[in-house]
Order: sequence, then C-alpha cells, then structure tokens
Amino acid sequence: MREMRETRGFVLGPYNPSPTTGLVDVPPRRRLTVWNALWLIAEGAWTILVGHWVTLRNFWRKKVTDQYPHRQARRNWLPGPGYRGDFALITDWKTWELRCIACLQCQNVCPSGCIHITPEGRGRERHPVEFYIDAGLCQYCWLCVEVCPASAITMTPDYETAVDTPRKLIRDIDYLRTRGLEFDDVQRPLEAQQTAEAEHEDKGE
Amino acid sequence: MIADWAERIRAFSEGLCTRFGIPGLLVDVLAWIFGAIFVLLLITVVALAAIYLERKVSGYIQSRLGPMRVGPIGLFQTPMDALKLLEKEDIVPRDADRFLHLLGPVLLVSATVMMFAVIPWDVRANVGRWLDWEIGLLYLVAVSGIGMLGIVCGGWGSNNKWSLLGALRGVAQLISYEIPLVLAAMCVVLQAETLSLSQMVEQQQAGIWAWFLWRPWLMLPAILLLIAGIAEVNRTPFDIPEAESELVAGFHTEYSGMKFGLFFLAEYTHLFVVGLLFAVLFLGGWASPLGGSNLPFEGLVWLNLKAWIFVLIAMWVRWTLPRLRVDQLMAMCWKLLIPASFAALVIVGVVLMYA
Ligand code: SF4
Ligand code: SF4
Repeated sequence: MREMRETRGFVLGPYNPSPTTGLVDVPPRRRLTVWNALWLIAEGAWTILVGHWVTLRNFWRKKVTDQYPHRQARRNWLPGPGYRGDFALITDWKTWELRCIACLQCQNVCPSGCIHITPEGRGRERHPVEFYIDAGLCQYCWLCVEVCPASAITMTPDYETAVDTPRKLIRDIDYLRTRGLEFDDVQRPLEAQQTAEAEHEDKGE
Repeated sequence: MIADWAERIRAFSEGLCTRFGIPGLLVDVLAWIFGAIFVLLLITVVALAAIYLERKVSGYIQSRLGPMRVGPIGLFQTPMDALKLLEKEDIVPRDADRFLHLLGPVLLVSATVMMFAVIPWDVRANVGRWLDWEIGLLYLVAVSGIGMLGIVCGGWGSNNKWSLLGALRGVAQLISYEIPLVLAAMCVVLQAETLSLSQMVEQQQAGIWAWFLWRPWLMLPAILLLIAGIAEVNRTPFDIPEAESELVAGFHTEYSGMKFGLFFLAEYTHLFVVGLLFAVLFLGGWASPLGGSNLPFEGLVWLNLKAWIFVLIAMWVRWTLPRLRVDQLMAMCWKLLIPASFAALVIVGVVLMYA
C-alpha cells in the first residue's frame, strides 16, 4: 500500500505533488526487522566488494600518464584545430611575401595592447617592416585573428613555446614569418575554426 | 630486535662513559638519547616508505603513475617533501595556546612510538626480556588511547573552530571504535589464553594453517579488527576528524612546518603499528608461513611483510570508499560493529568451551 502525505514546501525528485490534490505519493518505509537489517548489511558489503574490484582492476591497468618532457607517447602530437598556440604570420603561397597589409586593425582591436606594427609604403605596396607580438601580455582572445581582413595572422597549434626570459616572449617579424613557414598547414586550424563557427551559426544558436 | 638494540645502545653509552670519564649518572641519559635517535630513524623510515607507497598506490588505482620525477621512479620525492617541511616556517596562530599547540603532535607521535615497544619482532628478540610483557596487548591498547589526547590538545590549542570540531569528532570516533577493536582483540585473547603478544605468535608458529585467521570462529573478529583498525588511524572512509571538504584539515588546520610533518609521521606510523598488531594477532607475527624460523632476521622479514600487506589493504580501502558522514560513522560503530563484536566474543567463547 502506498500512503499519501501532504506536502510542506519544496519537494524534490520523484515526489511530485499531484496538481489537483497537492498530495504527494510517498513510497512506504521498509520496516527494519532483523532480516531486513541483515539484508542491508549483506547488500552494503557486496557493494563495497564490487567497488574494491573496480579499483583493483584499475590498479593493474595500463597507466594513462604521458611523461611528457621525458618521453612522449605520441610523437609530434599536436592539439586539435582551433588550439591557440604560438603566433604566426602567413606567407602568400605565390609571392612568398607576408599577406599582412599593415592595416593595423589587429593592433587596434587587441584588448591587451600587445601588438606593435611599423607599416611602410602606400596602397598595394603597404606592408609591415616591424611586427611585434608580446606573447607575455597576450590573452589569446583570437580577436586579432578574427579581425584581420587579409587572413594574415593566426595561431599555430604549437604549444611548446616556453622561453627562459620574458624578453623572448616578444615575437618579432622574422620569428612570426618562420613560424608561418614551418607550419605550412597553418591555415587549417583557422579554417576549421571558421567552418565550425559557420556551422554553429547555421544551427541558429 | 628492539631489545637487542636497546642493550647494545646501553652498552655503547656505558663504554662512552668509562672512556671519557663521564659520571655514571649520565649513562641512562645517553642511552635514552641514542635510543630516541634510533627509534626516530626507524619510524621516519617506516613513515617515508608508507607515504611513498600511498602515493604510488593511489596513483595506480587512478590509472596514474604517481611520483616519477625525483630520483628513480620517484623514490626521493617523499624525503624531499620531508626536508621541505623541516625548513618551513613554524607558524602558531596569535591567540593559540602555545603549549597545547606544541603538545598535540608530540603526544600523538610519542603515543605511536610507545606502541612499538611490545611488538614481538623476532623469535629471539623479546622472549625473557622486560619488553615481553605478560600484558602486552593491554599496554598497546592503553597507549594508543594517549594519541587521542594529542588530537584534543592540537584541536583545542589551535583556537580555531575547524580544529576544535575536528578534534571533537576525532575523539568521539576513536572512543567509539576502540570498543570493537578491543573486543575483536579479546576474541584472540580467548583463543590464545594470554595477553602476551609473543606467546600468541608462538601458538601460530606451525605454519600458514596455524594462523588464527583460518579458525572459522575468528574470521569475524579479523574483519572487525580490520575495520576498527582503519578507523583507529583516521583513514579515509573514517577520516571525519580531518574531512577536507568540511573542516579544511580538521585538527591540524593550524599546523605548519615540522609540526604538521609530525602529524603525518604519526598517522603513517600508527597505520604501520596497527598492521603489526593485525599481523601478530591473526597472521602469525614473525612466524614463517612455511613453519620453522631459522635464518637470522627471518622473523623480522615475515612480520614486516605481513604488516605491509595490512597497510596495502588499508590504502586500497582508502582509495576505493568515500568518506562517511559523522552520523553514519557513529551508527556504523554503535549499531553494527559493537553488536557484531559482542556476538563474536560470545561465539568464540561458546566454541572454545565446547570444542
Ligand atoms: S589574441 Fe593576443 S594579440 Fe590577438 S588580440 Fe587577443 S590579446 Fe591581442
Ligand atoms: S589585421 Fe591582418 S593585415 Fe591588418 S595589420 Fe594585422 S595582421 Fe596585418
């Protein structure tokens, strides 16, 4: 038999009050007899044993730890597309010039103010002669990548960017160009990100 | 083993006194100092090994590797951490009771160290010496109660609500769980008809099948002793005195530096001593499972092996089960363990009377 009990205030979980009567269906309490108690003890002991079996299995399992700087389980592993690692300036595949048109939009949009560009030339000739990014200030917000009209700046999936002095965190134009050339598939994360975002927007979310 | 060393240390300090013309009164003092250094080294090694083992076991159970960097397979990690604790600043809260604050860890550690005194380490070690007390088990249980005082002192002296709550919980828990512990040990006393630990071991000497663990009527006491022993050392399913999620760190919230290290030392040494006790009561102490113990130090090796098995089981339990609530903990002790241990006592008594 199920007994009905009046609700008082909040009732969580399966105890939903009936919309018409405001009564809640409460499962009957099991009477605590000796056999019930013994059964509860046996049940508890069984669950404890099962738990120990699980931990024992994990004890003998192959460990997932990757002792990264010593050895790397997956050689030359890179994070997935969209990972915001080291900066790179992309080189045009025909002319081998930087794509950057020195429009300074990234410098203006950067909330941390860590991009410094010295432009040169006018019109089609306009290009950066100096391009500094202070990776120590950068918050990796991707705004500079997003705003760039020439798709000239991006972040590579390279995560091994540790240096020994803060000075080296300021990437200059040669460094950024080399990065871009090293990662000849450097556009992929960018494009993947854009595709993902396009899909995201297509779903109307 | 210990007794041998005690004599050797005494002889050594006597020799020093005669050599350098130190007054004879100081012989005892010297012997105490050397003895204290020896015991300190022993428990330090035990605690360091236990902490290393705990880190490895927890890592392995969680599919990690545990410490790997400092030294080969991370062996030096724990000594380095101990060194770090040694050189840290010892901070005492401004309104703390400085004396009690200091007394807490000291009492806890000394209670744990005193428990080592009656452990029968080897066949030749204790027999016929003063350490082989007729009332060894009683002494052990009595001394382990002093540790409780250490927890109260630490909790009260810190002048911190978390510490005080932890200490209160700790005392409530230790007092409760001492009852099933003692009653389970009493079952073994009924079986062995002695309170002397070395005589208990002598009765289990014949080989693995002579161990008290295999007597069907002593299996329930063995399980009870395992549970109550783990509760006695405040380890995880029963670690409400230091429940991190509720009480910051319980009774040692306000401790830092080496005083904190002493709490750590006491915890792991205590765990090892309970392991030794379990090994002596149920696993035949220093007796070889093959029967007959002839090689030098063989008993020491066997006893250590058995105690470390207990320690491993305690770690396995720790990294499997979640922490109990306070009321669940008390309910488990008073509604389950104590009735069960009384029942076990009656069963053992009846069986031994008619068998
Ligand atoms: S990602 Fe870094 S450099 Fe680019 S806009 Fe953000 S903070 Fe500035
Ligand atoms: S926004 Fe692009 S094109 Fe403009 S300056 Fe920055 S990197 Fe160059």
